[in-house]
Amino acid sequence: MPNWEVDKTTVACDTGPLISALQCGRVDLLKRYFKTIYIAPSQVAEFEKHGAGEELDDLIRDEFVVLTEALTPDERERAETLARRIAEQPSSGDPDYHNHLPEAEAMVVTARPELGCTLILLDELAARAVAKEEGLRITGFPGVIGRAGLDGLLTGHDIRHLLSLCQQQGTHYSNQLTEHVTKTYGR
Amino acid sequence: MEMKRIAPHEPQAALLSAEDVDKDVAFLSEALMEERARRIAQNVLLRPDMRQILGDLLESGACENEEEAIARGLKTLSVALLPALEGNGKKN
Repeated sequence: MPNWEVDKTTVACDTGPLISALQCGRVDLLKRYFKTIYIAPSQVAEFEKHGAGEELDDLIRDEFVVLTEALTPDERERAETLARRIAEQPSSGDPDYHNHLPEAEAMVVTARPELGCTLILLDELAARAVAKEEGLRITGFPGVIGRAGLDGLLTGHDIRHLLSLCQQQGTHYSNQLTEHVTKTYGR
Repeated sequence: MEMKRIAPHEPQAALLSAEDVDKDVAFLSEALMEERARRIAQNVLLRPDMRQILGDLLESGACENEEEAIARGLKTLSVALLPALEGNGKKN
């Protein structure tokens, strides 16, 4: 494994990419590229719902994941607007905007200048469409895997295995996506 | 960290496509490069001797700004070292 270090950056993260990293046991890939991952308060319940509450606590204790302060009333209003836009997206599988508040809050957190987030980690198509409209730079867990492949940290076999582990646990990375990342970024 | 089975996040939601991943890798790489540039610029500009040289160059009118001075300095060094680099088979 290459021992050179990259200059890590700071990001905000929706629940999905962190769940994927936990599903395949490769949070270390996130730690290689990010110095801090900010999450919004409403996301904590989601991690608990997915059975990843303990893992989240560990990451918060390590100070790798940082839970942001509660949203201000203005930010809450902004998050609600964004959640409604996510719910209205054709690719949204859920028309109830309340269920999109966590990813909307992650977007609001990304835009806080004092946190210095350079990217938002987001895998869901509908939320990504809105984040793009908002001018946010997006990456996702497969993007992190791709970069790790370019850096020589993962072979094609590794990439296929990691994305398959996520798929086996119900994360809907398509076979086409898995093959593309494997062939394009695997070494 | 020990692996355990973790439920998917919103399993009914459509996720990113293969085409999206290439942009994601590009954005991540761009953000990492910006961090690197920030660190290098900070380390150079925090050195008093470098600030002095930059100040002198700007005052002389040889360069319009610090970025130009640094870029021209690197190009000059590259040209100066080119014969030696070629000799070592390290020409880029």
